[in-house]
Amino acid sequence: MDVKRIRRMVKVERLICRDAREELKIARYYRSDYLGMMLLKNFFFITVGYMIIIGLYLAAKGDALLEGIYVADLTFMVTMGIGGYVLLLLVYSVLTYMICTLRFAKAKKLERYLDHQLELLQEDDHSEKDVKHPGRGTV
Amino acid sequence: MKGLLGFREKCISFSEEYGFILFPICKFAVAFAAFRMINASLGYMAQMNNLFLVLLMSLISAVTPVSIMVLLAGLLIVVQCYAIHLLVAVFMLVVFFLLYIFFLRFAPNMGLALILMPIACQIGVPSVLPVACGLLGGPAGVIGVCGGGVVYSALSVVIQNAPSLQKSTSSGSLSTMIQEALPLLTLLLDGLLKNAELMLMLIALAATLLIVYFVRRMSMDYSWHIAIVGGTLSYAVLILAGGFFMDMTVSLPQLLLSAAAAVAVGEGIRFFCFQVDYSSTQHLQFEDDEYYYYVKAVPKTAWLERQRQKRKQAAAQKKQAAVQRKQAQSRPAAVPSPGVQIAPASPAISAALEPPVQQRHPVSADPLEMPAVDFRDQLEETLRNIQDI
Repeated sequence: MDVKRIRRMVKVERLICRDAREELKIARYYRSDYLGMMLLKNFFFITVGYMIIIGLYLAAKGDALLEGIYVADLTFMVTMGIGGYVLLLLVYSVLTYMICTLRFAKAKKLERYLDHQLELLQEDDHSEKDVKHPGRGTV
Repeated sequence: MKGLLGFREKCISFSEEYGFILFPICKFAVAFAAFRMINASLGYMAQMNNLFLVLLMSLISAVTPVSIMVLLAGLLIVVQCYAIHLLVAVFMLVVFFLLYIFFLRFAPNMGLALILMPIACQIGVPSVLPVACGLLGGPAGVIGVCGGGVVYSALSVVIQNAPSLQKSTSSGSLSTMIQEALPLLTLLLDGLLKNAELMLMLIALAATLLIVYFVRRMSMDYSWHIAIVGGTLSYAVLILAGGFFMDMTVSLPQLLLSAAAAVAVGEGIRFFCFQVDYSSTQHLQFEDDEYYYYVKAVPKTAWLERQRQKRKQAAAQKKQAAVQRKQAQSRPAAVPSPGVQIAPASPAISAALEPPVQQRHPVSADPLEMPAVDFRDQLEETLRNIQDI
């Protein structure tokens, strides 16, 4: 038994099936596609989350807020609301971009490592076949 | 110390051998504790308090990923809150959703911290978890630990206001429901957002975790000990100072108990995960074409112990071989008769009779003396391994 080879096979199998499952899924994408998808997801999440926060705030404090309000105050509030949304979206987009870039780089590194291990296993296979049939095709 | 190290080795080999059954059992225990805690603190829906149901959910959690456990715990909380008032269930759902949107989606592997944190808070030892997460994980643990703190605080708000929430009906026309719901919503939101205690706890938890993480990664001696004690102290000081400046009552015995538990758990983790012998530290300096390397090599205690045992065995074998050689020399030399074959000597004797081979690392006569270790070789091998990866 080639213990080294068995260890390598176990390591590869464990990576593919368990430890690096998510990373391998990520590594299937192109970088721009993956980042674009994540930023789009982030946009929807932040929009929904912000709407919920504004809804909760208005539900809890709406009456007190609208008492004796003027048009100028309303404009200011709307501007603040939109500004807050844009700022939140910007901050979370930057955060998402950074985290996803790191994740993608890690996934690609893992994929390269896995490919290298598989190549080594294939080389082992070929050398084993050569040993089994040393004179094949020579006669 | 040797006995403790032996116990550690046994524990590690046991967990490696029976990990496939040990980890589901641990997950089952955690899930059972979490579900029981939720039922004990909320417990407004009698059907959900059924032990069989709790056991079934724990069993499902034991054989599925941690995220399923988190999902089941969240579902249980929402159902129990629904028994209080429909609005409370919606409020909890919104809290979970916002937690996921703004924090938890960036740290998907923090489910266990999210589950364990409310349990630790309920027991009264909240500082245990940031210390443990700082030792075992990275800064992303802040999200799980603080998320758990928020969940615990939201549950506390619901439990505190449950009697007044139960009085208002959740039936009738929509306008009546909305009119009744708005003050309740204000009550819950104020309880969560204007909660100075929660803010203080979150700051203390995050600071503790980050201090533990950054100190334990430092290259100074006894960094793990310092990280554990420093993190625990910082938590206690922050809570005490916050309590003083914000006019909050802080239970000193509970704080001390929490600190003691955090140190105990931290030391336990250090015992199993980071055993090094600082007395054998070596400082190396070398260079290649591109860099100068200033390396500090601290040997692991288990490895040192194995080396010592090997040397002990080698010394014993040498001794035995020397005794056998002496015995062989004292005996009269037997002249082999033609046709009689001499049996081959035992490997120990043949090894002793062979001329001594010059060793790469000379062995000292005292088996308990520190072994001479070529850290440069080991470092080069490690660098090669890293390059392979």
